[in-house]
Amino acid sequence: MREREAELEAHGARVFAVTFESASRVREYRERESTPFPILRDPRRAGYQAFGIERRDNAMSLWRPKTFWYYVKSTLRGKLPKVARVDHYQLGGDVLLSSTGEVCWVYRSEEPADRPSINKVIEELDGCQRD
Amino acid sequence: MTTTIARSDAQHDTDLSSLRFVTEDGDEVSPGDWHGSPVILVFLRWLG
Repeated sequence: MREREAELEAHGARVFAVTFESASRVREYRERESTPFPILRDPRRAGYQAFGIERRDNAMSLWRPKTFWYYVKSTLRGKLPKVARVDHYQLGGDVLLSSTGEVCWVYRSEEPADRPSINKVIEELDGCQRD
Repeated sequence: MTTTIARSDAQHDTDLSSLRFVTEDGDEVSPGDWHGSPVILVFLRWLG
């Protein structure tokens, strides 16, 4: 998503990354990575829970073929997979809020490699703005 | 298989005003206060 930030901005959208990790981990991440989006912390995971973004309780439910294949491809490209340092079982998700503050769309990942395409996000963004 | 929530259902599911996030400056913000432009919240698995 960071590669197409300009496209999202052209659609008038603001993007925030949300993490449950600590302030020190956010600072450490900022020093390492160039992320164009502001990072918000949700230490109690209230947002994750409110939008139904799951935390699984076992590894078998996470390591599905799509995720396995994603890590194989990354490794073949020379990008070794990183291991989550804090919580292997938390999944991600995407939430779109309208300009009037209503929840337009929620995408809940079913496994680690499951994220919506940027085209899907833009499609939903367009739909949200038409409503 | 991915779970998505249709627009009409999503609108009734979540009380945004009760949510609080913490900015990088340490301030609290509520998505219930955000108006004027659409917002995409990307909930991360972890900070890679």
